[in-house]
Amino acid sequence: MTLNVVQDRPCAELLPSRRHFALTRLIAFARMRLARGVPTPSQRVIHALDRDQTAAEMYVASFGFWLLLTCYIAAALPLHPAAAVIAAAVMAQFAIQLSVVGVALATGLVTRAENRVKLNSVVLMTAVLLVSSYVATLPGDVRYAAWVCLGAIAANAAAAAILWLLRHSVRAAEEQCAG
Amino acid sequence: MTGAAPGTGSREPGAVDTGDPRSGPPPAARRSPFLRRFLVRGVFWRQFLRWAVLNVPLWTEPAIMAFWSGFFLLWGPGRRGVMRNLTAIKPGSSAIANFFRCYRVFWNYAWTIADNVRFKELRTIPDWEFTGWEHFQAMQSGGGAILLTAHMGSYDLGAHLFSETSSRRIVMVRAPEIDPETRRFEEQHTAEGLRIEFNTRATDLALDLLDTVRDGGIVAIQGDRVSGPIAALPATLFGKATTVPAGPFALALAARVPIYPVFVVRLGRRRYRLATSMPIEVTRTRDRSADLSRAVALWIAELERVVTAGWYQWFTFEPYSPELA
Repeated sequence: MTLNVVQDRPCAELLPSRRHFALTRLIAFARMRLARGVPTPSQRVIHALDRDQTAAEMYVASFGFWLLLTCYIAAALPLHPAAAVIAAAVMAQFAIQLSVVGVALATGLVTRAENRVKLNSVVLMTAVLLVSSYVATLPGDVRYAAWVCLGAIAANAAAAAILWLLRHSVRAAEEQCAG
Repeated sequence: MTGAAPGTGSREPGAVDTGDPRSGPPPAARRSPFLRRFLVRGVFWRQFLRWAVLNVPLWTEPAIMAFWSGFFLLWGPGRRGVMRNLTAIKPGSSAIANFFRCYRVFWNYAWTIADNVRFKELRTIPDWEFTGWEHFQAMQSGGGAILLTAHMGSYDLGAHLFSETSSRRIVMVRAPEIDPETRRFEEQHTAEGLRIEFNTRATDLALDLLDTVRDGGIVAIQGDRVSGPIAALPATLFGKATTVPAGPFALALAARVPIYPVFVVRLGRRRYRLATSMPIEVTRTRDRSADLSRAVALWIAELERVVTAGWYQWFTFEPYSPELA
């Protein structure tokens, strides 16, 4: 069995290929370019080369998803705003579970592949995009939450375009680190 | 979730028998097979976890983990077990503080078992740091050895990492799952390249393991908890009387090999530390009982040090001492 890892190379911490979203890949690439000198390993380390390896972006995306759903649900609840936010914060957690299970069951009807993480991710993100596009047209403060979401998706798309233009430099920098 | 050392076939001097023939089958075993699968150790949750690993978008994973860690706080015996253990690890701690600490234990456990399943199903490994590298290397380059670990971090992942990076043969010993369906499921979903033995056939297994270490292999055993009717040795952990499996110490004594305390500590999302401590040499004298007691005392000191620092990932869901029950 071959494991995709690099050993005792601290620079691997910043590898863009260890990031999921284009925006964080671009930031990681910029940090790699700005980093001065090659850090020496203080202890034995193994870095896995996997695009979902970085914790910070996953926590931010997950928290953002929960916050977004909280805003959307709170706006739809006929309650005092403070009560609506509290109720929505709890309901958003259940909504995440339901949306993930719903998407997984739906994609299960389309494909028989067992590993559907990537497909489900794309479908769920598309659903977020569509719902946010609709909410962004509504009157009321909730549209600002939708705009922030759409802004983040647009920034990620722009970062993807920039990364495509820089793809040779990114590959060279990665190869220099990973060896 | 279960794991323990092998029985050695014969009782060790000073050993205590943890089997209680009067207790009969556990309440879970008396339920119908259909209902049993939904109990906390039932196969349903293993299947559900596998399904989740193969379906959940990774950018929603922290929210999913937060929810399910809270959901499993409804598991009363597990929650109470962790909270009671915490009262011993953190003397003077309040129940409310330990309730939130318990959530942290469940949170870490959720991540750990998800990482383990992800490795088995998708071959995704986390980042690793190593401390005590010189001891780890000595274990890999020497003759036979016993790798003694605890129910911390992902001990399964650690064993898999070892089997991938080492040319040495490693045999992992653990207690079988209580639920037969769960046991079958786990046996079907075992990662390649690692031999796992269950401590159900004590005498045969003890001889197999003795052969393994004498041939230069490594036997990995969890030494912080006694599960089932196996030989155990008395010990004192955080000031409370408990027992530890006699197997690893008896094996080290019989085969004249060192015991390496190894802990797999979860540092964060997909990030672990493999900490190897100084080996414990079980010296042989005329007093076999004293030899074993000395080795157990060294192991307990190491275990206390690591659990004190990493209480939030000591996955012992039952009170470890009768005094805490």
